[in-house]
Amino acid sequence: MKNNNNKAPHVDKPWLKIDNASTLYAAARYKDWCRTYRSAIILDREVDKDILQQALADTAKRFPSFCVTLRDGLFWSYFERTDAVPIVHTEEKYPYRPIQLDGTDQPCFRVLCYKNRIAIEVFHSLTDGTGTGVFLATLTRRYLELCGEQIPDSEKVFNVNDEPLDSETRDSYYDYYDPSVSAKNPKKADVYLNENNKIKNYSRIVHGLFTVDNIHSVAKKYNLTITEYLTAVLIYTFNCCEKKPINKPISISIPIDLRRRFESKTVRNFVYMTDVSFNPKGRKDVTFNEICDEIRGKLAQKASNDNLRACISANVSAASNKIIRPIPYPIKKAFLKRTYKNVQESYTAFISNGGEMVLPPEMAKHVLRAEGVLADNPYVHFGCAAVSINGLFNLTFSSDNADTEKQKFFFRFLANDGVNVRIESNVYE
Amino acid sequence: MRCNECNVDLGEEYTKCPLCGADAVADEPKLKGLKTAEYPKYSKELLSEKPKYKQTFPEKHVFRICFCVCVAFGVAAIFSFKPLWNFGVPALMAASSLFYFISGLKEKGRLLHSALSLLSSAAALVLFTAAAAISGTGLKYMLLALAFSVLLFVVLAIARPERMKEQLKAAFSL
Repeated sequence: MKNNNNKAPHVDKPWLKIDNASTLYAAARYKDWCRTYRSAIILDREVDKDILQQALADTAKRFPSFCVTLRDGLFWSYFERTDAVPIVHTEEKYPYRPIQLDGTDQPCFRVLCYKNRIAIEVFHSLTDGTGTGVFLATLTRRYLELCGEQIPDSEKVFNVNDEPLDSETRDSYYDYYDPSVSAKNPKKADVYLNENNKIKNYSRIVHGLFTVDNIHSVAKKYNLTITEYLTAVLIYTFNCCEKKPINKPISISIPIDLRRRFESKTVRNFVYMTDVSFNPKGRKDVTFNEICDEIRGKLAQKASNDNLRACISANVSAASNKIIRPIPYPIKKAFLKRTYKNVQESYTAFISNGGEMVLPPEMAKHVLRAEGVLADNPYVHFGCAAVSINGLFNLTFSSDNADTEKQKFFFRFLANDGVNVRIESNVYE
Repeated sequence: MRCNECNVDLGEEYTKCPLCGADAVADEPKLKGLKTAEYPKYSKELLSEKPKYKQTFPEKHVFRICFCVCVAFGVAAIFSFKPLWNFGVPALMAASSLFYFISGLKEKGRLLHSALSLLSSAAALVLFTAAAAISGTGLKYMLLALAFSVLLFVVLAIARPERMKEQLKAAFSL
């Protein structure tokens, strides 16, 4: 890596190159939809909007890669720097409404507050779940500081008074791109697609809360990791809830945070989507243990460093191809849109385990819980994200319809398997 | 509160289970010390609300329609339907170019965007007319489109030299 500890070089530049993974998200956007990730923190106190606005203004300066708007260029889309700071809104609409990207000078994210919750909804081209978590933790830290709390520095929570570093805004895919590694492109599988009756402007969030120790001990019973266990339950759910027998693989997409494998401090995208699948071959009597046996160790195998390097190479080599680069963006965009659709339609659902949000103890005592929410998309209508804090695991399902059959099956299974679950939702009576 | 059907704890204010709709029961929760993180009550009007986006797309649609018509004319050219494309291609190209370019002037920061998109369309026209030229009829139109592209490059380079430089750098020196 180069210039790791230097000031971010583009801070004074009017534009920022879009990172490798973001190219697809930028091209695949529609007027009323863009790939969005939502993250929230619940505090032990009611949030004051004015103080939060001040905290946001301070935090935005520390994250130059967030203060940008998306523009379409001649050959690629790119980010243009903006001095506008988003206005903090009180949350009153359903979560993850589309973010306006075209014809605006506003950054590609929004900050919302409601009672004890501070939420941020980010266009995925800006950053991934980890980056969103770092921004939100820093914003919360600044908010608490403005409220008079003393919070010490820590690795995952930035100090807004520090200068942004080059290492935080790097496109880390290029740091680990090795042209000599043979590229590996994921094959499009003919998978089971979860049907859906989308309701416009609607999103239903269901949170399942349980302790990390509890879910860990239950997963251990099957000799699985927590992510593998949740994936197995989700596959089992799809097979049991579908009325007709499923003859295609049920494929669950799982993002892997590459920062845990390769050294990187970037707050931009550095994630790779892998998948775990199981084909019930038309059998409705598939047992949970069969699914566990099939997927055990598969994730670790797919996420080996060699495999990940090959996948990084595949992504980067396509973007840096000398023939592809000079093609005008409108033409590239049409192909990228199609590619994105193909990739998305090779998954039945998403499951994203963001792991533990590490906060300094002085800050953690004011944070009751954290939430991660995958916004629905036009191709995959069922997403589930998890994040834990202070030993409390928060698994969140998001969907764009009112049907809760799968969520019900999923959580009933967990509860009957020995997990003490608490359910909360944004739509309840 | 608890739902005995689903065997799960619920938020304190819940009267029904959000999963199955069964009545919540005032039993002791298994997970102690948790408080409900409230969401707002959504109004029914939200579902029929139209997004209040700044409409920047009509000109894009016009551009796209013109682009498709150009493709049609290109195909016509390849198969030598002369009357259709002799005047149609340049006239449509000029009209859509002008419209798109002027619409870009209205908005701050959109000049470059519209000009670049226009440039792309000119480049596409080069491809179509090149195809026509190969088929033996469209050389002069290819030259026209090339001249048009060069002119746009010059205009952009004079109007926004720094941005143009950055764009080219981004495209060619990854």
